Amino acid sequence: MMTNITGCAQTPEALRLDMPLEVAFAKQNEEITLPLFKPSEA
Amino acid sequence: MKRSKAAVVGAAETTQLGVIPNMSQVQLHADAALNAVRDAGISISDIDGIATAGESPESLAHYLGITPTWIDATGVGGCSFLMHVRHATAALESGLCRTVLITHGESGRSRIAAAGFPIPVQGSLLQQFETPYGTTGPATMFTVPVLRYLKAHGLGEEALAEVAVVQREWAAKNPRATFRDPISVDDVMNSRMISYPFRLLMCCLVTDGGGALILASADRAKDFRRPVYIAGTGESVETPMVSQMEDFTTSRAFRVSGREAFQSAGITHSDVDHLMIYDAFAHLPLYGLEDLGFCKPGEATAFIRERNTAPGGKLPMNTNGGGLSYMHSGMYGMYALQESVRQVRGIAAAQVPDVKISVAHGVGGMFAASSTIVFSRDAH
Repeated sequence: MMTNITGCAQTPEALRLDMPLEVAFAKQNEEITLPLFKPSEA
Repeated sequence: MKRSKAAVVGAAETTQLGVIPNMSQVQLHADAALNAVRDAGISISDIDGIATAGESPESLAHYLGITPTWIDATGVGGCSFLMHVRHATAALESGLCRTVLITHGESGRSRIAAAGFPIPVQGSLLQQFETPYGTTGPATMFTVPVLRYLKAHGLGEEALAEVAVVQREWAAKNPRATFRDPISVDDVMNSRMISYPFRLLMCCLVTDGGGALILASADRAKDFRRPVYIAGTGESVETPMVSQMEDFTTSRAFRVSGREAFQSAGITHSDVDHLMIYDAFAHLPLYGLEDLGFCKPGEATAFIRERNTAPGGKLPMNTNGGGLSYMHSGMYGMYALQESVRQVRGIAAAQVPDVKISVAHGVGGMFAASSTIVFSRDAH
Protein backbone atom coordinates (compact mmCIF):
# COMPACT_ATOMS: atom_id res chain seq x y z
CA MET A 1 0.00 0.00 0.00
CA MET A 2 0.99 3.60 -0.47
CA THR A 3 1.65 5.26 2.90
CA ASN A 4 4.21 7.40 4.75
CA ILE A 5 6.88 6.31 7.21
CA THR A 6 7.16 8.63 10.17
CA GLY A 7 9.28 8.74 13.31
CA CYS A 8 12.65 8.64 11.58
CA ALA A 9 14.82 10.84 9.35
CA GLN A 10 13.33 11.28 5.87
CA THR A 11 16.53 10.21 4.11
CA PRO A 12 17.51 7.26 1.89
CA GLU A 13 19.90 6.11 4.63
CA ALA A 14 17.17 5.95 7.30
CA LEU A 15 14.41 4.61 5.04
CA ARG A 16 15.55 1.11 4.02
CA LEU A 17 13.58 -1.45 2.01
CA ASP A 18 12.25 -4.31 4.18
CA MET A 19 12.83 -2.47 7.48
CA PRO A 20 10.47 -3.65 10.27
CA LEU A 21 7.57 -1.23 10.74
CA GLU A 22 4.50 -0.85 12.91
CA VAL A 23 1.31 1.02 12.20
CA ALA A 24 0.93 4.58 13.54
CA PHE A 25 -2.64 5.80 13.02
CA ALA A 26 -2.78 9.51 12.27
CA LYS A 27 -6.11 11.26 12.86
CA GLN A 28 -6.81 13.81 10.13
CA ASN A 29 -10.24 14.99 11.28
CA GLU A 30 -13.37 13.61 13.02
CA GLU A 31 -14.07 11.22 10.13
CA ILE A 32 -10.74 10.28 8.60
CA THR A 33 -7.74 8.51 10.12
CA LEU A 34 -4.80 7.45 7.93
CA PRO A 35 -2.65 4.37 8.56
CA LEU A 36 0.96 5.61 8.62
CA PHE A 37 3.91 3.48 9.70
CA LYS A 38 6.95 4.00 11.96
CA PRO A 39 10.09 1.95 12.61
CA SER A 40 9.20 -1.03 14.82
CA GLU A 41 10.36 -0.89 18.41
CA ALA A 42 10.04 -4.66 18.82
CA MET B 1 5.31 -14.15 -40.31
CA LYS B 2 1.63 -13.60 -40.79
CA ARG B 3 0.13 -11.42 -43.50
CA SER B 4 -0.36 -7.76 -42.49
CA LYS B 5 -3.89 -6.31 -42.48
CA ALA B 6 -3.00 -2.61 -42.50
CA ALA B 7 -0.14 -0.21 -43.07
CA VAL B 8 1.09 3.22 -42.12
CA VAL B 9 0.96 5.12 -45.41
CA GLY B 10 1.75 8.59 -44.05
CA ALA B 11 3.77 9.73 -41.04
CA ALA B 12 5.11 13.04 -39.79
CA GLU B 13 5.88 15.06 -36.70
CA THR B 14 5.16 18.74 -36.21
CA THR B 15 7.35 21.03 -38.30
CA GLN B 16 9.07 22.21 -35.11
CA LEU B 17 9.84 20.30 -31.92
CA GLY B 18 11.02 21.65 -28.59
CA VAL B 19 9.76 25.06 -27.51
CA ILE B 20 6.85 26.22 -29.71
CA PRO B 21 5.26 29.19 -27.92
CA ASN B 22 3.24 30.32 -30.94
CA MET B 23 1.08 27.17 -31.31
CA SER B 24 -1.79 25.88 -29.19
CA GLN B 25 -2.47 22.23 -28.49
CA VAL B 26 -5.02 21.84 -31.29
CA GLN B 27 -2.69 23.68 -33.70
CA LEU B 28 0.04 21.14 -32.94
CA HIS B 29 -2.42 18.34 -33.79
CA ALA B 30 -3.33 20.09 -37.04
CA ASP B 31 0.27 20.86 -38.02
CA ALA B 32 1.25 17.20 -37.56
CA ALA B 33 -1.91 16.02 -39.35
CA LEU B 34 -1.32 18.22 -42.39
CA ASN B 35 2.33 17.11 -42.56
CA ALA B 36 1.25 13.45 -42.46
CA VAL B 37 -1.47 13.99 -45.08
CA ARG B 38 1.13 15.62 -47.34
CA ASP B 39 3.54 12.74 -46.71
CA ALA B 40 0.84 10.23 -47.72
CA GLY B 41 -0.05 12.22 -50.84
CA ILE B 42 -3.75 12.40 -49.96
CA SER B 43 -6.12 15.18 -48.93
CA ILE B 44 -7.98 15.74 -45.66
CA SER B 45 -11.24 14.86 -47.43
CA ASP B 46 -9.95 11.30 -47.93
CA ILE B 47 -9.95 10.68 -44.16
CA ASP B 48 -12.99 8.88 -42.75
CA GLY B 49 -11.58 7.59 -39.46
CA ILE B 50 -9.91 9.54 -36.65
CA ALA B 51 -8.21 8.63 -33.39
CA THR B 52 -6.63 10.92 -30.83
CA ALA B 53 -5.88 11.36 -27.13
CA GLY B 54 -5.36 14.48 -25.04
CA GLU B 55 -7.56 16.41 -27.48
CA SER B 56 -11.21 15.59 -28.17
CA PRO B 57 -12.03 13.88 -31.47
CA GLU B 58 -14.81 16.44 -31.94
CA SER B 59 -12.29 19.29 -31.82
CA LEU B 60 -9.95 17.49 -34.19
CA ALA B 61 -12.74 16.74 -36.69
CA HIS B 62 -14.08 20.28 -36.54
CA TYR B 63 -10.70 21.96 -36.75
CA LEU B 64 -9.60 19.93 -39.79
CA GLY B 65 -13.01 19.68 -41.50
CA ILE B 66 -13.29 15.90 -41.29
CA THR B 67 -16.60 13.96 -41.23
CA PRO B 68 -15.57 10.65 -39.69
CA THR B 69 -17.52 7.39 -39.61
CA TRP B 70 -15.08 5.79 -37.16
CA ILE B 71 -13.72 7.39 -33.98
CA ASP B 72 -11.38 6.16 -31.26
CA ALA B 73 -10.65 8.36 -28.25
CA THR B 74 -8.90 5.75 -26.12
CA GLY B 75 -6.98 7.82 -23.57
CA VAL B 76 -4.82 5.82 -21.18
CA GLY B 77 -1.78 8.07 -21.20
CA GLY B 78 1.30 7.98 -23.37
CA CYS B 79 0.69 4.63 -25.09
CA SER B 80 -2.80 5.65 -26.29
CA PHE B 81 -1.47 6.27 -29.81
CA LEU B 82 -0.09 2.74 -30.04
CA MET B 83 -3.52 1.45 -29.03
CA HIS B 84 -5.04 3.67 -31.74
CA VAL B 85 -2.85 1.87 -34.29
CA ARG B 86 -4.08 -1.51 -33.01
CA HIS B 87 -7.74 -0.43 -33.03
CA ALA B 88 -7.44 1.26 -36.43
CA THR B 89 -5.96 -1.91 -37.90
CA ALA B 90 -9.04 -3.84 -36.73
CA ALA B 91 -11.38 -1.12 -38.02
CA LEU B 92 -9.73 -1.08 -41.46
CA GLU B 93 -9.81 -4.86 -41.64
CA SER B 94 -13.52 -4.98 -40.83
CA GLY B 95 -14.37 -2.18 -43.28
CA LEU B 96 -15.56 0.42 -40.74
CA CYS B 97 -13.46 3.03 -42.55
CA ARG B 98 -10.87 3.31 -45.33
CA THR B 99 -8.33 5.94 -44.27
CA VAL B 100 -7.49 6.66 -40.62
CA LEU B 101 -5.76 9.71 -39.16
CA ILE B 102 -4.16 9.35 -35.70
CA THR B 103 -2.92 12.58 -34.13
CA HIS B 104 -0.97 13.68 -31.08
CA GLY B 105 -0.15 17.26 -30.12
CA GLU B 106 0.88 18.61 -26.76
CA SER B 107 2.04 22.00 -25.58
CA GLY B 108 3.87 20.32 -22.71
CA ARG B 109 6.34 23.10 -22.09
CA SER B 110 4.71 26.32 -23.32
CA ARG B 111 1.25 25.27 -22.01
CA ILE B 112 -0.66 27.06 -24.78
CA ALA B 113 -4.31 25.93 -24.48
CA ALA B 114 -2.96 22.69 -23.00
CA ALA B 115 -5.23 20.01 -21.54
CA GLY B 116 -2.94 19.74 -18.53
CA PHE B 117 -1.72 16.73 -16.60
CA PRO B 118 -4.73 14.82 -15.23
CA ILE B 119 -5.52 15.64 -11.60
CA PRO B 120 -6.96 12.58 -9.78
CA VAL B 121 -10.75 12.63 -9.94
CA GLN B 122 -12.37 13.19 -6.52
CA GLY B 123 -13.25 9.80 -5.07
CA SER B 124 -11.21 7.82 -7.62
CA LEU B 125 -9.06 4.95 -6.38
CA LEU B 126 -5.93 7.03 -6.97
CA GLN B 127 -7.30 10.04 -5.11
CA GLN B 128 -8.47 7.89 -2.16
CA PHE B 129 -5.50 5.61 -1.70
CA GLU B 130 -2.35 7.33 -3.03
CA THR B 131 -2.85 11.10 -3.17
CA PRO B 132 -3.38 11.46 0.64
CA TYR B 133 0.23 10.34 1.18
CA GLY B 134 1.74 13.17 -0.82
CA THR B 135 2.11 11.83 -4.36
CA THR B 136 1.99 14.56 -6.99
CA GLY B 137 3.37 14.21 -10.51
CA PRO B 138 4.80 11.14 -12.26
CA ALA B 139 8.24 11.51 -10.65
CA THR B 140 6.72 10.70 -7.24
CA MET B 141 4.74 7.67 -8.47
CA PHE B 142 6.40 6.14 -11.52
CA THR B 143 9.63 5.75 -9.58
CA VAL B 144 8.08 3.86 -6.63
CA PRO B 145 8.79 0.30 -7.87
CA VAL B 146 12.39 0.89 -8.92
CA LEU B 147 14.09 0.54 -5.52
CA ARG B 148 12.57 -2.95 -5.26
CA TYR B 149 13.76 -3.75 -8.79
CA LEU B 150 17.31 -2.63 -7.99
CA LYS B 151 17.44 -4.53 -4.68
CA ALA B 152 15.96 -7.72 -6.13
CA HIS B 153 18.67 -7.81 -8.77
CA GLY B 154 21.57 -6.50 -6.66
CA LEU B 155 21.92 -3.37 -8.79
CA GLY B 156 22.98 0.15 -7.84
CA GLU B 157 21.60 3.51 -8.91
CA GLU B 158 24.22 3.60 -11.69
CA ALA B 159 22.04 1.08 -13.57
CA LEU B 160 19.66 3.95 -14.30
CA ALA B 161 22.47 6.30 -15.29
CA GLU B 162 23.77 3.96 -17.98
CA VAL B 163 20.41 4.01 -19.78
CA ALA B 164 20.58 7.81 -20.06
CA VAL B 165 24.22 7.80 -21.26
CA VAL B 166 23.61 5.40 -24.16
CA GLN B 167 20.48 7.22 -25.29
CA ARG B 168 22.37 10.50 -25.39
CA GLU B 169 24.78 8.81 -27.84
CA TRP B 170 21.83 8.25 -30.18
CA ALA B 171 20.53 11.79 -29.64
CA ALA B 172 23.94 13.20 -30.62
CA LYS B 173 23.30 11.82 -34.13
CA ASN B 174 19.88 13.48 -34.41
CA PRO B 175 19.67 17.18 -35.37
CA ARG B 176 16.08 17.37 -34.05
CA ALA B 177 17.00 16.05 -30.58
CA THR B 178 16.66 18.56 -27.74
CA PHE B 179 19.78 17.43 -25.82
CA ARG B 180 22.75 16.34 -27.97
CA ASP B 181 25.89 16.88 -25.88
CA PRO B 182 27.54 13.63 -24.66
CA ILE B 183 27.08 12.77 -20.96
CA SER B 184 28.88 10.31 -18.65
CA VAL B 185 27.59 8.12 -15.82
CA ASP B 186 29.20 10.63 -13.44
CA ASP B 187 27.29 13.49 -15.10
CA VAL B 188 24.01 11.63 -14.51
CA MET B 189 24.90 10.62 -10.94
CA ASN B 190 25.91 14.19 -10.11
CA SER B 191 22.81 15.80 -11.61
CA ARG B 192 20.19 17.26 -9.26
CA MET B 193 18.07 14.88 -7.17
CA ILE B 194 14.41 14.94 -8.28
CA SER B 195 12.76 12.03 -6.45
CA TYR B 196 15.02 9.41 -4.89
CA PRO B 197 16.70 7.58 -6.57
CA PHE B 198 15.89 9.55 -9.73
CA ARG B 199 18.20 12.39 -10.68
CA LEU B 200 17.48 15.03 -13.31
CA LEU B 201 19.17 13.22 -16.22
CA MET B 202 17.19 10.03 -15.46
CA CYS B 203 13.94 11.94 -16.13
CA CYS B 204 12.38 12.87 -19.47
CA LEU B 205 12.39 16.33 -20.98
CA VAL B 206 9.30 18.54 -21.07
CA THR B 207 8.82 19.95 -24.57
CA ASP B 208 6.19 20.94 -27.16
CA GLY B 209 5.35 18.98 -30.30
CA GLY B 210 3.13 16.51 -32.07
CA GLY B 211 2.94 13.73 -34.59
CA ALA B 212 0.42 12.04 -36.86
CA LEU B 213 -0.03 8.81 -38.77
CA ILE B 214 -2.22 7.87 -41.74
CA LEU B 215 -3.30 4.22 -41.92
CA ALA B 216 -4.94 2.29 -44.75
CA SER B 217 -5.67 -1.38 -45.38
CA ALA B 218 -2.74 -3.48 -46.56
CA ASP B 219 -4.53 -4.08 -49.88
CA ARG B 220 -4.37 -0.34 -50.65
CA ALA B 221 -0.92 0.24 -49.15
CA LYS B 222 0.99 -0.63 -52.32
CA ASP B 223 -0.57 2.42 -53.98
CA PHE B 224 1.33 4.67 -51.56
CA ARG B 225 4.94 5.78 -51.74
CA ARG B 226 6.44 4.29 -48.57
CA PRO B 227 4.07 1.92 -46.71
CA VAL B 228 5.14 0.43 -43.39
CA TYR B 229 3.05 -2.61 -42.54
CA ILE B 230 1.44 -3.35 -39.17
CA ALA B 231 2.52 -6.95 -38.56
CA GLY B 232 1.24 -7.40 -35.00
CA THR B 233 -0.21 -5.48 -32.07
CA GLY B 234 -0.91 -5.89 -28.36
CA GLU B 235 -2.42 -3.98 -25.45
CA SER B 236 -3.32 -4.36 -21.79
CA VAL B 237 -3.92 -2.51 -18.52
CA GLU B 238 -3.06 -3.38 -14.93
CA THR B 239 -3.97 -0.83 -12.22
CA PRO B 240 -4.33 2.96 -11.91
CA MET B 241 -2.29 2.81 -8.65
CA VAL B 242 1.39 2.04 -9.02
CA SER B 243 1.45 0.85 -5.40
CA GLN B 244 -0.88 -2.01 -6.38
CA MET B 245 1.25 -3.58 -9.13
CA GLU B 246 1.28 -7.37 -8.78
CA ASP B 247 5.09 -7.30 -8.72
CA PHE B 248 7.32 -4.21 -8.48
CA THR B 249 10.06 -5.84 -10.56
CA THR B 250 7.95 -6.48 -13.68
CA SER B 251 4.93 -4.96 -15.42
CA ARG B 252 2.02 -7.31 -16.13
CA ALA B 253 0.66 -4.91 -18.77
CA PHE B 254 4.06 -4.92 -20.53
CA ARG B 255 4.22 -8.73 -20.55
CA VAL B 256 0.65 -9.26 -21.80
CA SER B 257 0.89 -6.56 -24.49
CA GLY B 258 4.29 -7.71 -25.70
CA ARG B 259 3.34 -11.37 -25.88
CA GLU B 260 0.18 -10.57 -27.86
CA ALA B 261 2.10 -8.36 -30.31
CA PHE B 262 4.82 -10.94 -30.98
CA GLN B 263 2.31 -13.79 -31.31
CA SER B 264 -0.03 -11.88 -33.61
CA ALA B 265 2.94 -10.94 -35.81
CA GLY B 266 4.31 -14.47 -35.75
CA ILE B 267 7.84 -13.25 -34.99
CA THR B 268 10.52 -14.19 -32.50
CA HIS B 269 13.00 -11.89 -30.75
CA SER B 270 15.77 -12.65 -33.23
CA ASP B 271 13.57 -11.20 -36.01
CA VAL B 272 13.65 -7.72 -34.41
CA ASP B 273 16.10 -5.30 -36.06
CA HIS B 274 15.13 -2.15 -34.16
CA LEU B 275 13.35 -1.41 -30.89
CA MET B 276 11.66 1.60 -29.29
CA ILE B 277 10.78 1.43 -25.57
CA TYR B 278 8.96 4.45 -24.18
CA ASP B 279 11.35 6.02 -21.64
CA ALA B 280 9.59 8.60 -19.49
CA PHE B 281 12.16 7.65 -16.82
CA ALA B 282 15.37 5.65 -17.09
CA HIS B 283 13.99 2.46 -15.54
CA LEU B 284 11.43 1.88 -18.29
CA PRO B 285 13.84 0.47 -20.90
CA LEU B 286 15.08 -1.99 -18.23
CA TYR B 287 11.55 -3.22 -17.49
CA GLY B 288 10.71 -3.19 -21.22
CA LEU B 289 13.72 -5.25 -22.34
CA GLU B 290 12.91 -7.87 -19.68
CA ASP B 291 9.11 -7.90 -19.91
CA LEU B 292 9.19 -8.14 -23.72
CA GLY B 293 11.55 -11.09 -23.35
CA PHE B 294 14.74 -9.67 -24.86
CA CYS B 295 16.55 -10.16 -21.53
CA LYS B 296 16.06 -12.37 -18.49
CA PRO B 297 14.89 -10.64 -15.27
CA GLY B 298 17.66 -8.43 -13.91
CA GLU B 299 19.88 -8.70 -17.00
CA ALA B 300 18.80 -5.59 -18.95
CA THR B 301 21.37 -3.36 -17.23
CA ALA B 302 24.27 -5.58 -18.33
CA PHE B 303 22.71 -5.85 -21.80
CA ILE B 304 22.80 -2.05 -22.12
CA ARG B 305 26.23 -1.70 -20.50
CA GLU B 306 27.62 -4.22 -23.03
CA ARG B 307 26.43 -1.80 -25.76
CA ASN B 308 23.85 -4.12 -27.35
CA THR B 309 21.38 -1.21 -27.63
CA ALA B 310 24.00 1.45 -28.46
CA PRO B 311 25.05 2.61 -31.95
CA GLY B 312 26.62 -0.43 -33.63
CA GLY B 313 24.93 -2.88 -31.24
CA LYS B 314 22.85 -5.89 -32.22
CA LEU B 315 19.55 -4.42 -30.92
CA PRO B 316 19.53 -0.64 -31.55
CA MET B 317 17.05 0.90 -29.11
CA ASN B 318 15.54 4.38 -28.75
CA THR B 319 17.52 5.59 -31.73
CA ASN B 320 15.96 9.07 -31.75
CA GLY B 321 17.43 9.70 -28.28
CA GLY B 322 14.16 8.80 -26.52
CA GLY B 323 12.11 10.76 -24.05
CA LEU B 324 15.29 11.32 -22.06
CA SER B 325 17.07 13.28 -24.84
CA TYR B 326 14.94 13.64 -28.01
CA MET B 327 11.65 15.10 -26.85
CA HIS B 328 8.84 14.38 -24.39
CA SER B 329 5.67 16.43 -24.53
CA GLY B 330 3.85 14.42 -21.84
CA MET B 331 2.48 11.53 -23.92
CA TYR B 332 5.56 10.31 -25.78
CA GLY B 333 4.11 7.23 -27.52
CA MET B 334 3.60 8.96 -30.87
CA TYR B 335 7.32 9.78 -31.13
CA ALA B 336 8.29 6.14 -30.55
CA LEU B 337 5.92 5.18 -33.39
CA GLN B 338 7.36 7.89 -35.67
CA GLU B 339 10.93 6.70 -35.13
CA SER B 340 9.96 3.07 -35.82
CA VAL B 341 8.31 4.16 -39.08
CA ARG B 342 11.37 6.23 -40.11
CA GLN B 343 13.72 3.34 -39.37
CA VAL B 344 11.65 0.88 -41.44
CA ARG B 345 11.43 3.44 -44.26
CA GLY B 346 15.20 3.95 -44.05
CA ILE B 347 15.05 7.72 -43.49
CA ALA B 348 15.94 8.10 -39.77
CA ALA B 349 18.60 10.61 -38.66
CA ALA B 350 20.55 7.79 -37.00
CA GLN B 351 19.55 5.13 -39.51
CA VAL B 352 20.12 1.48 -38.59
CA PRO B 353 21.10 -0.60 -41.67
CA ASP B 354 18.39 -2.75 -43.28
CA VAL B 355 15.55 -2.58 -40.75
CA LYS B 356 12.90 -5.14 -41.75
CA ILE B 357 11.16 -5.40 -38.35
CA SER B 358 10.82 -2.64 -35.76
CA VAL B 359 8.97 -2.97 -32.45
CA ALA B 360 7.55 0.04 -30.60
CA HIS B 361 6.51 -0.50 -26.99
CA GLY B 362 4.65 2.06 -24.89
CA VAL B 363 3.51 2.69 -21.34
CA GLY B 364 0.47 4.60 -20.11
CA GLY B 365 0.15 6.16 -16.67
CA MET B 366 2.46 4.68 -14.04
CA PHE B 367 2.72 1.13 -15.42
CA ALA B 368 -1.09 1.35 -15.65
CA ALA B 369 -1.39 0.53 -19.35
CA SER B 370 0.71 -0.72 -22.23
CA SER B 371 0.61 -1.25 -25.98
CA THR B 372 3.06 -2.79 -28.42
CA ILE B 373 3.25 -2.50 -32.23
CA VAL B 374 5.32 -4.66 -34.60
CA PHE B 375 6.14 -2.84 -37.85
CA SER B 376 7.33 -4.62 -40.97
CA ARG B 377 8.93 -3.40 -44.22
CA ASP B 378 7.24 -6.23 -46.14
CA ALA B 379 3.54 -7.14 -46.27
CA HIS B 380 4.22 -10.94 -46.16
